[in-house]
Amino acid sequence: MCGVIVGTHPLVSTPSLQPNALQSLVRDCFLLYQESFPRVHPIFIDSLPNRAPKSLGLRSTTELPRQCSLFQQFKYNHLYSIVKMKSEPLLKVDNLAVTIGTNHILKNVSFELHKEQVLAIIGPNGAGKSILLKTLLGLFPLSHGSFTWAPGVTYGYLPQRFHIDHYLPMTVEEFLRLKPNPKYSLSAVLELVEIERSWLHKNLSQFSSGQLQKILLAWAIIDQPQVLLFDEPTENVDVVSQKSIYDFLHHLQDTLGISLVIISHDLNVVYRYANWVVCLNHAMTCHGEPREVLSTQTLSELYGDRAFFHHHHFDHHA
Amino acid sequence: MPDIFILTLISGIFVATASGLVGSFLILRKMTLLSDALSHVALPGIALGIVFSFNPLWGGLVALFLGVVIIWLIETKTTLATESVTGVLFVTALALGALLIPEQDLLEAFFGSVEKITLNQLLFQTIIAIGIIVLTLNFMKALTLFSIAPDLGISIKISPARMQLLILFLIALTIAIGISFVGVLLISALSIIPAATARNIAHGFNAFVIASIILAIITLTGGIIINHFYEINPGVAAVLVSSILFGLSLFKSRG
Repeated sequence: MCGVIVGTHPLVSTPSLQPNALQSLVRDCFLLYQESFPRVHPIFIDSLPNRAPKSLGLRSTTELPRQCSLFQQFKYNHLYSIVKMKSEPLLKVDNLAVTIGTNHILKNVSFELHKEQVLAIIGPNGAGKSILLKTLLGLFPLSHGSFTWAPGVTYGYLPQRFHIDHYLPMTVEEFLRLKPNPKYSLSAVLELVEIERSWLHKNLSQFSSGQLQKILLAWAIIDQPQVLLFDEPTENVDVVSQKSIYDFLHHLQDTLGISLVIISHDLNVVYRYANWVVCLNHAMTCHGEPREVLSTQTLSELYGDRAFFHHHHFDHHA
Repeated sequence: MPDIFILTLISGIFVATASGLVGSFLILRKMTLLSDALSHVALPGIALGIVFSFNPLWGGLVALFLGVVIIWLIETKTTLATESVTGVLFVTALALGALLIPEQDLLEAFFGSVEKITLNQLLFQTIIAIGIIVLTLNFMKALTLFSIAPDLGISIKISPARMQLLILFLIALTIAIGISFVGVLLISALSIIPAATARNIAHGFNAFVIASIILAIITLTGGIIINHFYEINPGVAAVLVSSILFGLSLFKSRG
């Protein structure tokens, strides 16, 4: 998620008020606000420049770039309007295209990922979603366009498939220790993803694919990445553990302020968790907020004429 | 001056340690057949060493490096099916080597001979073995991750092409230093069988690598000792020792 406009009351904006008095008023509002919503970063919006107290890290309107797009209400609907904080995006994808051999896998893909945002990539099978994610990891060369990670951004990756050879001799602890530069201790990361300590000494091949995904999640966050790229598995994972993975991701996002890029086949998940959606079918066919994008029309354009949503919906309750 | 037999054993322990270490990655990467095929490439190089009387170790090493570069180029730069091309290439190399090597030396090139190893060669082998061990331990985490889950490796910027090249060079070096002991045809067994045995008995990864090293040492020193007291080629003896150990490991499989 983004930031919040903390608007000042018309009374406060009156130029007659002394700057010092104004600043202390804003500071009080800010602290009160921060107490109520610790995870949300206020942006100070005011018509006059230089009145935002710099010490609070607030920004005035004039500092916000013009292309700053207003989000509709997301979480704190009734209280504040939310703006996409136009500080430097963590990831900027600009007109990206990928060609493998003579196949044009991706083209015209452009989006930005901001701090604490959950960006969902949706699209039919074979649309190039996984390739997009792997391209962002640097696996495929671009044939056109660019993508830029903000300097120093760290990202983790949960692949769609993680096949552990049945004969692989490796314990969970040994696997987690393979990650360079861990920031969490093993016990801290286990607690975060709610894995029992007894798992540490078990062999990786003893776990179900849902359990393996939890272990992978621990692997992915042990070095505290700012962004997590998650390629949702289409197979082999039961609905229960799949749901819990999303609850975890959501929890992580809330507690750690992590940004997520998820590939999802489940539109329920997109509705519940995402605050930005990119539709992909080789080219980017639409993007926007979930409630805008997930309309019957855009979905039937994206997935073809079949009633994808219903089909999918029933699938998960069958 | 210590007995040459003792020196041979000591050198064998280092060579076996390198083989067991590299072998564990061959098993994880499922590259056992490739390393087997690659070992045959050494033969033309050894042949040149024998014909022009320089140390066959260097001939084998150069030939193996050429083989590695060819495999790597085919894998990363072309769309050719690696398996069939390497298959053709390496059988051809074997035939060429067999053609060039004088008939009386052929059996030794195939199955190894300890008597002909010079002091110099023992020294070089040991130094190269230590180099392999240091290099492998240095890249241990990256190699492990690349072997078990390349995608995860990529996500932390481990380049698969570079890791593949590193593994191939490690294999080439390991083959080159072991050939004089066990010969071209059986050399891959020195890496593969101990690691395969270790996988049967080990629960964790560290235990697997250590077991693989210990088993490789037992295998090679066993082969050298048997060869010393009986008229059996060291390669043949070593492979039989390691096969017996592998057979035993099947009874004690990890839970």
